Amino acid sequence: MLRFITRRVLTAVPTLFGLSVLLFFWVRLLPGGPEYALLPEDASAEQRAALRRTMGLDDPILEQYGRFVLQLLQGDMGTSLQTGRPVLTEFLIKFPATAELAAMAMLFAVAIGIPLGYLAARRRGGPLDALAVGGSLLGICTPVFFLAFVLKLVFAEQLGLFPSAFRQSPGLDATRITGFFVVDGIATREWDAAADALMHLVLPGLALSSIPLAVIVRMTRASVIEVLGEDYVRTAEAKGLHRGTIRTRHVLRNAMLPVVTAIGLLSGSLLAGAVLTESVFAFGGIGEFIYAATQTRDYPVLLGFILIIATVYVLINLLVDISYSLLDPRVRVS
Amino acid sequence: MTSRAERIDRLAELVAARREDGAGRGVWREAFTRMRRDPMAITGAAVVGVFLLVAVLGELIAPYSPTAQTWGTEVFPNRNVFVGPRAENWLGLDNLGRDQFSRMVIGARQTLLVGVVAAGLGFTAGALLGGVSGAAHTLGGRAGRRIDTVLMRLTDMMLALPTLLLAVSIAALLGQGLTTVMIAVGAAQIPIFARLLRGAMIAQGGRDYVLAARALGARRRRIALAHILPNSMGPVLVQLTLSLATAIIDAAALSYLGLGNPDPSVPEWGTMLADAQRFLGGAPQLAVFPALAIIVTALGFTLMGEAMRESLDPRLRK
Amino acid sequence: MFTRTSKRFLAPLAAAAATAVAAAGCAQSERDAGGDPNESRPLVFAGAGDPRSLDPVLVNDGESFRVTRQVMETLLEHEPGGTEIIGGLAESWESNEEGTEWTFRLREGVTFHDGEVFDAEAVCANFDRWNEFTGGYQSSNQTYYWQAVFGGFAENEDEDLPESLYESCTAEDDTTVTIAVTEPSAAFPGAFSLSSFAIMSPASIEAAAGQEVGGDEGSPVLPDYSQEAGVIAGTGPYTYESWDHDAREVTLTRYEDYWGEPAGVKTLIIKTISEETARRQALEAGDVHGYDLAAPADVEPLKEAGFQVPVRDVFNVLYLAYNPEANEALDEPDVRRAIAHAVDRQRIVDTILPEGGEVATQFVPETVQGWSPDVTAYEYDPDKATGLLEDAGESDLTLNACYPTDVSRPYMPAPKDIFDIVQADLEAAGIAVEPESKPWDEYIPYTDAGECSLYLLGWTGDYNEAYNFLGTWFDGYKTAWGFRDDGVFEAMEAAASEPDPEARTGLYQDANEVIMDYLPGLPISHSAPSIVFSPDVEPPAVSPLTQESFAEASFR
Repeated sequence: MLRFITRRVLTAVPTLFGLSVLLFFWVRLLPGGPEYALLPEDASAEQRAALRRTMGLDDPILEQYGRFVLQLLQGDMGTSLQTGRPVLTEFLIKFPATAELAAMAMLFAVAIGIPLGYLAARRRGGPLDALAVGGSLLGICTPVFFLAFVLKLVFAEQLGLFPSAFRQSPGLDATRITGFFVVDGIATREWDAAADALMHLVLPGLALSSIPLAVIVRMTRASVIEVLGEDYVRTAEAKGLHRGTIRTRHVLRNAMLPVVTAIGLLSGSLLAGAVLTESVFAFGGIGEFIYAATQTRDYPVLLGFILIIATVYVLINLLVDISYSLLDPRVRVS
Repeated sequence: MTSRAERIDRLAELVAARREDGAGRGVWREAFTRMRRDPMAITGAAVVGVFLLVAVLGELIAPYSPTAQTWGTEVFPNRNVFVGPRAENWLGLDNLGRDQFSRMVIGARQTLLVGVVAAGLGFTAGALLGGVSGAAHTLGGRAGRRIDTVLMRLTDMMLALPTLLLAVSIAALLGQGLTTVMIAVGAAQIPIFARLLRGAMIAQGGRDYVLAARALGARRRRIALAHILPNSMGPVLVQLTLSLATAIIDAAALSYLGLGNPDPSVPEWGTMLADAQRFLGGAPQLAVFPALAIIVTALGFTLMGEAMRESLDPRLRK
Repeated sequence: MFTRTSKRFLAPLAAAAATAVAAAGCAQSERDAGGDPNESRPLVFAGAGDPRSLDPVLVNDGESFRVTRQVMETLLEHEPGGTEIIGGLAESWESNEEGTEWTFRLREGVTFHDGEVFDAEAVCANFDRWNEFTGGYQSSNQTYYWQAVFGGFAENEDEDLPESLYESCTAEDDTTVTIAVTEPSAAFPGAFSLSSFAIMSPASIEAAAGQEVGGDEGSPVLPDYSQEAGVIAGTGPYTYESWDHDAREVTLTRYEDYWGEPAGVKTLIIKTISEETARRQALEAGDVHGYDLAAPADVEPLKEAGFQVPVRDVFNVLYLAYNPEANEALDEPDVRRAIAHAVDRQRIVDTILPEGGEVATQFVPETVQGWSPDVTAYEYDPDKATGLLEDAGESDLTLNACYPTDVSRPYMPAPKDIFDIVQADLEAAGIAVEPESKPWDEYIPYTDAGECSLYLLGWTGDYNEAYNFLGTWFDGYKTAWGFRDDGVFEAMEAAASEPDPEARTGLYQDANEVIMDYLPGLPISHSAPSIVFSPDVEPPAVSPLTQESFAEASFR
């Protein structure tokens, strides 16, 4: 067992190392450089060249890579060229925004997706089933940015129910502890701040949930259909068990296993996948920042953020593998 | 991501699983018969059919040139003066005084082109990667498994990167253009196809006929190319249909980020939607028509793909 | 000024009226309830990007200056709503004949936010500090405008930096200060109005003194004092209250002892919304009270919905640059002229640009000293264009042409639409166009490197001096322009080295005429970028330089 875990951890290291090499050279291949984003459009060629030099971008690329690795080993991820603040600091500021958004989106996806998928499966072939399947497909087929604009048009501009942008109302006097606005509001008992932050999560959460919602509806539906056909459900029905009992104890519980796994892993993908939603709602999260970094060639941010995300991703997979191996001895062999 | 990977693997097993009950070549015929009765499949096929027809006929349908700014003096976007649907311009004029209907019609071809080429690129590269990986895994022994592990780790890494960022950096690297959009969108599909084909091939690899072929002393390459590969293509074809939809939507997102086709005179739905976003307040029809076109077309492909998938999946049938 | 003083009288009245309106139930939301809205509600303005630093000498972008300008003031200013240079912290100024000594008479009774007195010593402390910057501060990334105007520093650490133009600063008495430079420059006196050269309290300078630009080589970390409110004190109508990096908002509070008219609204908040459509939606949804650089297409719908869009004067230029090094056909004067005749610039102004835009006859707007009424005009005439091309033997010419995506500049609100018209016009005249596009941050290097035969670009003036427009383009050979013409270069040199501002104006008029005869590119338009405010806000005087003072704004 221990050997299995050690082996998995050890294989994760070269993966991440490989990724760092790949990323480093990949971002340097991109044409242009930060000297263009950082100076106004009328800056002279000499000024741009001088800036490149002072940033050490003219040094041999291997030397630069060596410096990068050396810094990284000391836990220093460098500084954002856009903001002049350490990459780690920036990450810790942006992460809560994205995490809250992803959590909200998952909440919507689960709260709507599972009941809808379950009902669709129970009334398979009926109008509700068609609606659920059609609706979820529609969700997948609508470009997210268009959906976001339409949501804002209807719910923020026309109806005025929700704010159209930001994480919290401007000027709201809220105490910050963790950077998770909702959590901070609850922790400090500033209920208005928590409620305000929650309201700001509704529309972006909805927009971002369209794809996970569709996935969950369909997974739940498929899974429930499969379980409904299992012998033990038929046995339970034959035994004359109470329908509600069958539903909760036999069908739902068994059908939820794959769905729950999917939810965990979908959440991971939402962290970096919210580029468009974040920028349309001025949310200031990871995706928006990485996108801006691609545009301005903010090398340290590109490397740092993607490496952190990849590490998290690898860790999640590692945990999943390990927990599987604990549950299922067959996995250990392969 | 792994949920995606799992779905992919699941699909991969299906076709192989079907062969177990001796249905043989009948799987596809059976699936087709089933699909003919499935409203989902019929709707999808109808939408796709209309789309293809429009894309192919193009100029024959479009009443005007899609690029001529014929009515340029009638439209003043800076003063919120737009021309909506009218007798001579069925869908009105765009923001530079071009016939919107003609642009939509000609745009269908560009959209189809982007979708087909992108999905095709993803399919080819992915199939190559997955094919090598799968063949190595089933037939290559210990060394083969190692190759397989490396290749799969690579695809996992690709799955881990946000597709949009991958596309953005490809666009930066290659410069903007229609080709870049196709490559960028296609690249995002590579790991999906790779995983899918590999899964299907591994599933096939354990089948009796492969063991028989090996026992008879057939050469490995022949087994892989003549037996395993053709029998593993089913799920890949299903995915190809689904990928067409994704490709069209992804291309729109790229255009929205300003990384689409640089030639503004060539109409393409994604670019048209991204451009018209600005006029959502004053002339919503400019955004709504391409948006609807994209959604309906993507839906058509998705419905077809889903229907195929369902008809192949015994678990989802009663 | 008079009207503004009277406003103070009216304030209580207005407040009473507002309360009455609120009581009558017209104002629906609770935040409107009670008291003078100017005291109880923050004015929220949306910027397109986060500011980089609160110390203006360390920044070079409009998003940062929008914030620092409310808090920090410069010796000279531009008249509210105009481009004329007037006194700021200095009431009057003069230079010696050679243009090497600039003497300023300072305003009296000005105090910094930390209570320190503003005087000649304080001015010198600032200029000396900038000139004596060391280490990371010497990167052009940090001190762009200092280097653009003064070249280098007291002790240059990079041998490629030019000698510093700055010689000394002398406090003659409390209110008289003389700044000496080693040689005259066409940048003066306009450069003293640059937002970067805003005066900070001597106490703040002392507090910041120990803080270096940190981090390793290649990744400079900006000093803490510039990243949080608390250290920097200026003299402006607002003080830094806080900078919430999590919520991406900078909060400014009224400075009660301001020497001029105190700020109308007590709390001013500047937030970031990077997406253009999202800014409009935030305004319509009531989440912000104003934003800058509204898309031209949004202006009319916004006005119809009751929003205010005050029209700015133009102070920028959009041009279509020609680069003969990318395509040698452009060496031919007839080809350059043909393009000028082929493009329907009036249509661009009429259909794309916001209200107030105009066709450009030369590379500077009319408001800039040195604008000439006598330049060669190139009217729209596609037939003439075709004819010229035939004369030049270039009837089947193909040119690659570039435009930027994902960007909106004050001079270029919808690059793709403008390009679309240019392309259609050129093709109508018989020039085949190969379009290329790049995201903004790649676009500049691409065009700089001479990759595009034709490309769209422009400039918004920093201060009212023709040099600020023409200087960086035409004072010598540039890869971005790819031409060598002694006539143009000499005319520019003659103007730039003339110390007397009035004589200089005449020389720049000559230069503009020479440039338009040579035609290194086609000036397309001057555009008035749109700034929008919600109906309940009394907007500030809008500035052609996009340098609004939000202290002038108030709630109605």
